[in-house]
Amino acid sequence: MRITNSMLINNFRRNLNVNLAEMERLQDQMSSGKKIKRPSDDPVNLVSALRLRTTITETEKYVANVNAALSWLETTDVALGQAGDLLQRVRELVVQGANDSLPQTSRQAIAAEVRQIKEQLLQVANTVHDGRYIFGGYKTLTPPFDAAGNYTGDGVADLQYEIGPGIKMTVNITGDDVFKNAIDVFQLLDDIVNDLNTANTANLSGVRLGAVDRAIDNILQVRADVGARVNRLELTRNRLEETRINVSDLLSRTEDVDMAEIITRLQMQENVYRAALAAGARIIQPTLADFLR
Amino acid sequence: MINTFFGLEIGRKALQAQQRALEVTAHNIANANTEGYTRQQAVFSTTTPYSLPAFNRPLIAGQVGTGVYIQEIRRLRDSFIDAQFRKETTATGYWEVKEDVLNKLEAIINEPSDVGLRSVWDQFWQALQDLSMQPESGAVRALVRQRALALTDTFNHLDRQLTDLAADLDSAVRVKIEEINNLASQIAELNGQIVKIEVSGDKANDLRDKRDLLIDQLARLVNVEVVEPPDQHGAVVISVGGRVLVMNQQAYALKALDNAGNFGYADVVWADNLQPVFLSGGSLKALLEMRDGEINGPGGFRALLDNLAASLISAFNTIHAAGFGLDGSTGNNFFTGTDAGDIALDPVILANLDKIAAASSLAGLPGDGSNALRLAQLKHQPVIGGDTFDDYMRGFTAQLGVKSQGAKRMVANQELLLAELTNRRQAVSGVSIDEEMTNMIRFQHAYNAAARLITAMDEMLDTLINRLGLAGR
Repeated sequence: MRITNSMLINNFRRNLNVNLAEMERLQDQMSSGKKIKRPSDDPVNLVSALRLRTTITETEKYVANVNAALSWLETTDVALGQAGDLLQRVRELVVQGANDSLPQTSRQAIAAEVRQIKEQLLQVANTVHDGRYIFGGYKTLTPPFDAAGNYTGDGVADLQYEIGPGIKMTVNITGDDVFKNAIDVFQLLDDIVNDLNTANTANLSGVRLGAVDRAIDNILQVRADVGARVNRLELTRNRLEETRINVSDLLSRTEDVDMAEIITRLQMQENVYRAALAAGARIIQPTLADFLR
Repeated sequence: MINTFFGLEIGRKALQAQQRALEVTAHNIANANTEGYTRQQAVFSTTTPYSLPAFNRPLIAGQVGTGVYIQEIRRLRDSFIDAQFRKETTATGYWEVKEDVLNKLEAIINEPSDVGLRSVWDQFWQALQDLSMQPESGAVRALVRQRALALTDTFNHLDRQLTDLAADLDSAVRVKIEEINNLASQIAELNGQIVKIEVSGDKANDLRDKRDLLIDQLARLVNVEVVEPPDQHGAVVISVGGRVLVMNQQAYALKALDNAGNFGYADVVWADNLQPVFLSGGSLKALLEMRDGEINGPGGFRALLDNLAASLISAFNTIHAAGFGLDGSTGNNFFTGTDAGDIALDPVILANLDKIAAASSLAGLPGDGSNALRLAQLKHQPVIGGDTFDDYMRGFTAQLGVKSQGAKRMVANQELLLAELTNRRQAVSGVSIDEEMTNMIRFQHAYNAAARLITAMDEMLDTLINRLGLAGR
């Protein structure tokens, strides 16, 4: 085969170009830190990378949802705690008022305190979280209890937050379930005030005390339910955080370059490039003309 | 009898022949870097010998050589390699355009990134999640509207970019047609010049080089068949897809015929009878395939995007219309339009945030966000032929990636093949400086020797003419 000058030069130029292109690719990967810059770089891994990116976005949102649910439930828990404390105080007052030897004026003082407690309890029942009444069901913008203690919210209404694909968590408890379940607490307080004013100690130590106990019991049950939900949400949050970390790690392994490997390969490529240049310098320059005298 | 000056005549022929050969060498060296140049070679041949009855053989005439002449200046070229080279050039032209356009499509789809359709869609979903949790909040509703606008804008933008790209490809088609016509008429003209020279027995080497170069350029644009009929005195016949493009000095033009049924894009037809040109390769065919297939065709990128937008619009509107807005209104659509080009937010939603139907029932107002949640959950439901929106988007991104990767590989392969063929062509036709220098020395020596011969003859004749006849003086 005849070898001509242009063949040598063409081959040299082509090989040099291939080397340079490879160097450019490696340098680009090194400076961007990414293996996949466009779909054609690695279509198979691209699909995983895109899925992982979406998963991260979704998981972060679910974590935010869980946090929102937790904050709602914590407000609920605080409200229920206050309600429980107030009823506990009512119980003490009822026991006091049921004492036959107590002068009637003292009973009236106790009745005044119970009335105050009713007002406080109404405030608790109309607790607002982030601009929304938490005990009103869907009626989040209107107070669920009026001044007389009548419930005007939704009886059956679940506010549900999504905390995982297709997994929903009810965050609210209706005022019905807290203050009107079996015992109408506000009616009970009115009855107690009435009994105190009329010195009906038999009623106080009997029916009323029993009713207060059942109301306290009910609130405790609801609080236990809230606690269980908080537990579940916290478990979910831990799991989601773990998922997020794992997925981020996977994404990094799919998308990001291994620096040590890239630097090594770039170094090798640089050597090849230098060798190609050196070879070119030897091949291209001399012709017979250099040696003819 | 042989003429006394016969030797001088041989010397003269030798001088002339060696000088011609040296001139050919000079031409080769001068054109060592000329694109498309084929090295030439002076072919020496003996002149017709002189029959001379010999003294020792009186009956049969012996033969005496009469010198040298340049029989032809030959062009060293392998037409088989040319045919292969053109075939591969056609394939290279095809794949280069495909790779280029697929690259542009990849840039349009812009993945992986945080600003592509996928990201915008994810952000819209986040806003819907927020809405499901705080349906009574005006701020959250405004966020949903903004994110929805970003989504429709992205769809519209992608659609517009595809339209622009297709229009660019269409103008490229028109330019290529012009180029083909231009090349064809140049080749036809060269045909004429070559025939004029070769009909008298000469070789139109340099004109042939020019013509071959033009044919190489033509081969990149379209699939060509090149034939040189033996009785045509060097004219070539070039046909494209079974019809003659150039014959003798006649070039048949192609034409860009606007097709109203295809956005007014150009169809490639023969100018004389408006019949379609049958293309099987080259950059022109790739441009048409990308324009009418990969972008606008069924299963093309626009169809995929339109399908996505249409499914989104219908699935979203069905759920949205069943829900209730803050103002108690129901039956409202969220999106309008039918494809990626015209998807938009419904004017009702655009005008009034309270129309976004987050609640599932009238009784659930204002705190019920379950319909918003149902909208958000569309993200994980198989709504496009068994795929979720996410799957579908990933699917066509990967599909594009695979195609583009394949095209890149083909271009790399073709480049290697072409480089190999170029080398083989160069091995036959390329100028080797070393070889030419060697020839130069060779011809120079032969020239010197011939000159020396004439000197010798001259001295002999001097003896004969000036020194004879002095006997007895």
